[in-house]
Amino acid sequence: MRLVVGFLYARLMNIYGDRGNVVALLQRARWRGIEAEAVAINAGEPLEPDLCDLYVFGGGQDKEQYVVAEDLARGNGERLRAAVESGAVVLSVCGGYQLLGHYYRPHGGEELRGLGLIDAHTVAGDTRFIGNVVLRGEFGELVGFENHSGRTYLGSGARPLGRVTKGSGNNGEDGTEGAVCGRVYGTYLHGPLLPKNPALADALIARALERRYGQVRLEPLDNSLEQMAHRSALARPR
Amino acid sequence: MAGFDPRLSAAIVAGRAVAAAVRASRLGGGTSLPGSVAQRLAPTILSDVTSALPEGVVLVSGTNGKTTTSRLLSNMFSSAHLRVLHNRSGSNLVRGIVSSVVVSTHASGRPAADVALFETDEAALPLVLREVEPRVIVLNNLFRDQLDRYGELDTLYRAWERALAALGARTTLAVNADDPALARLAAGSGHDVLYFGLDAPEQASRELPHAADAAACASCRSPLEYSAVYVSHMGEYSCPGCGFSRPELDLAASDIRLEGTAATEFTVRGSYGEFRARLNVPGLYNVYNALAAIAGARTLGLAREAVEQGLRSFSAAFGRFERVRAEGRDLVLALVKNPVGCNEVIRMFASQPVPEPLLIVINDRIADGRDVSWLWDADFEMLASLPGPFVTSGLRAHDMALRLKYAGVAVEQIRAVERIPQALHRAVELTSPGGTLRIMPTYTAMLELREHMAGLGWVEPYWEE
Repeated sequence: MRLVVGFLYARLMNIYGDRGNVVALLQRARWRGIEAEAVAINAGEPLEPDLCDLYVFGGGQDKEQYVVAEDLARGNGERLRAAVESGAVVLSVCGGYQLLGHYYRPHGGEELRGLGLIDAHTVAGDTRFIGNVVLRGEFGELVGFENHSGRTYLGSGARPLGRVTKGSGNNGEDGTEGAVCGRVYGTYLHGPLLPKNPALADALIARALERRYGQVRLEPLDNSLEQMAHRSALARPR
Repeated sequence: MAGFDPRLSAAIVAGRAVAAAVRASRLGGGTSLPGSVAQRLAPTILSDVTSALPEGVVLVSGTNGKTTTSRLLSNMFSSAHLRVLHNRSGSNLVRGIVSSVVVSTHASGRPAADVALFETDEAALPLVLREVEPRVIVLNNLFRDQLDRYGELDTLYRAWERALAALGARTTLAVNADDPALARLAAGSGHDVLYFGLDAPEQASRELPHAADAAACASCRSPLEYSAVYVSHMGEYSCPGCGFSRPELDLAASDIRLEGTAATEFTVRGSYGEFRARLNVPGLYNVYNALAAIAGARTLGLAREAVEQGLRSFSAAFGRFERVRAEGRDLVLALVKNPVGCNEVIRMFASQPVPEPLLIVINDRIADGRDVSWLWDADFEMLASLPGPFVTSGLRAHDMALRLKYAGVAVEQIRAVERIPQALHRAVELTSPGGTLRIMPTYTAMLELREHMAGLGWVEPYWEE
């Protein structure tokens, strides 16, 4: 079997170690004997909708986010939509998550149109949510670190990734964190997210492999180091 | 220098040859031998060479903080583009000082520096003052607890008093006014004095700590009254007996903000105008060290920009590939705090594919950065080819262990030991005798490591640096 991971805007949208998510996906596939490789997709380079099974879309600063929004509007957004429609999975974090919603409305600035792959919208807040986060949801308990001023509100077409037990999550109001919309996932969790949350990493790998290989059963791995890191993250203060 | 002095030249050549031989033989501890040899050949070498320095000599003395103060001053001189002759790695006794002179002087006897900076042992100060007429003497404090080896504090005090009285009037003193004995000494010396001290009631206590001494007036022996106590016996005081009180400050630090074990911010007021300084070392005592350095720089007429630059750049070298000898092993400490710097260290260590351990200590306190995501931006993959073993430690020991696993290090080679002292001992044990243990700590992890090493006598505590 073979897994191709597309690292969207690897140069512009990798502010908080989000490349660790790519590393985790590749390694966890390889440790199971699945051939895995990553492809970086940068602004100005056309995305090939058939190439990748799984996309990772990280976070960036406001300036980078504008560049990326423009590039998505010039055709790569539609290509990404086509990829998702043909079975590709997307994990988006922070800025990437915001750009996959309907729009991002900054303070005073111009409203950024998103792709609408996630039924959500984001409004800039005047304080930042910074700190460790713990949430519970369909992938069990997830740990990570958030650092965002955007408040994201889910529409009826999206369900949250989970509910926060520590930290602020989507908007600091409704207790939700992240979003799942079909095969598109969004979250504010850096950390990076996947190494310390191997259940989610494996779920993404399995769903991505479905595109070419149908239902796949992944061999179990020894997750003791992952669990230790997960537990020590749980113990850290907000 | 009036002319060529063959005896001086011979002494310098001989001293340098000895220094080279000591280095080559790796005997260590030989920093006073070159000075010893040179002084035998040319007994007046110290005064001959230092009197030819265009910017003169600065002496830094006191019980604590000499090294930090000297290093800060050295930074300030460098920022002012002055070439410094500094007994940085040498001993601070007379022969060590002469050794540092020997290695920084041309064979002709012409010094290869603009200014000399001698960190001087408090007992050696009177001896050095027989040979050298400094432009400035920076005096930071006098503590009794460090002085057992020299007998009574009063003996030393009187020796200083005599030495200062014998000194020409051209020497200015930069003195910690918060130390009552030093202030009394300076006031009675007849020299020009620049007084520095703290003006920070928010940092003060009213009571002297148990370990403090010198609470009696140096003139009349009456117990001093303190309106503010900062560190040990240093503070704002007055004598009810003779009326002696803390001199008016020429340079004061106020609005001090201590950032835990990481850094200190304070406002400097006085002869340099007013500016906010940030020092990347912790503690009130380092504010005194910084003030001592600023006072020294002021008396030499350094520009404020050089002073600020010197303070700012101070921490940059802290923990950068610092070497410590312990238990028959070499320990190399390299601070890591962001992906860019971390990659430099990784690259350096990856170039040594020896079967010796690495100890990586990651904390996520505020001074380290609370978000450890950055570990995934650093290229630990470069370490995967090393034989290891790898010991990870700190509050995020398990995050680091996981990072190594995903970087391709075999899980059997990774040992996570959260508690830092235990991890250090484990890593030292895993290092072969004569081998090198490479240590990568984040900032607060470095401080914890150093504290533990100081407790074991492997390194000097900060205060003594």
